Amino acid sequence: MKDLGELKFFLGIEVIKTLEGIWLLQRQYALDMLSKYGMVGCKPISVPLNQNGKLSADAGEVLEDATMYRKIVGSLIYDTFTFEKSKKI
Amino acid sequence: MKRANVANRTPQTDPGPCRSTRERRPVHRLIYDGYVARHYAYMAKVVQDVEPICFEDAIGHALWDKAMDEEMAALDANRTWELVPLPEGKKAIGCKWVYKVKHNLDGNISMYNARLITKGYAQTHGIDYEETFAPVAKMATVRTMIAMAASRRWLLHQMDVKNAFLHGELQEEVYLDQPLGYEDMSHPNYVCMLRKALYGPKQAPRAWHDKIAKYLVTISFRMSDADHSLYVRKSDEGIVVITIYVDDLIVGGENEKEVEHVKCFLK
Repeated sequence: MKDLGELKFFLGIEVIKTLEGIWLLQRQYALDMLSKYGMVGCKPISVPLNQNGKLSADAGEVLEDATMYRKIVGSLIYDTFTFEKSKKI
Repeated sequence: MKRANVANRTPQTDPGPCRSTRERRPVHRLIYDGYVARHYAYMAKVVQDVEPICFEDAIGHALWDKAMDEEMAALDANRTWELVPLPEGKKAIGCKWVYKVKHNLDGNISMYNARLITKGYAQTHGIDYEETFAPVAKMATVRTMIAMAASRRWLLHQMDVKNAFLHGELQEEVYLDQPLGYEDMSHPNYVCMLRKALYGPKQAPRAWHDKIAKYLVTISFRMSDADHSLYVRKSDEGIVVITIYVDDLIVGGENEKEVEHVKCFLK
């Protein structure tokens, strides 16, 4: 078993100890995802969704890499799961 | 165990198609003619980076041979299995090699890693596996532990376990075909009876969790009823709490000495 010293990063959560308490951050996880999925430096933009749009199985273009898409969705789900307003406890 | 000579190697069982149907990104075919020396060197580097996807591709490449030798030596040292004749009515499951190039943070190659895995999907419930559930820490537990540490000014440390699954001890009888390239020539029909878990058997995570749970109990930790991956030890020296997420551990406690003490035990 390897001793990794003070708790710094666990299950994608960054842990920073300060005098006032302990911070739990998603910063590192988010940055890792951005670089993993090639989105570093992208500008955030809002993407409104058509409320009345109908989904169809055979219209539209097929994704080039469905696995990558699923990975991204999975990462985002995990990110919301660890999210609780990155906060100090 | 010695590797059989490649030329004489006769697979005792047909390894079957070792390519999955997953769509792979094609490696652009390289043409080796008509380049200047510098470009040869560059291409050699690119080729070196390619991970073979089955044993036949890897064998004969010095780097991968060495990686496989190391893995076999580690499995031997760990006394992972015993060679036995296959008992009647039992079935052996297959195994395969997977290869991975590991990179450093700076992008350079840090190691060539060959790992022997078992085809756990060939196992049958009730025959070579029973229970497979293994608890892992709930997010709420991790959070609560960190919150406790914050409010009580505890220390938090983390540890991880190398090759965690290989430490687990299997309860069920699991038989494995001899690994490709490392067949015992004097007993070609023998199979490996697993004592320790490998990567792949369905019950491997459970076997590992049992192992660490038992160990923690011997050093007087108590499994929490609320989350079975949380362990608490209360003594006059202060409280020590451990949360386990498969092979990652958080160790926390109010007394630095006690925490260090526990960490020494775990090592």
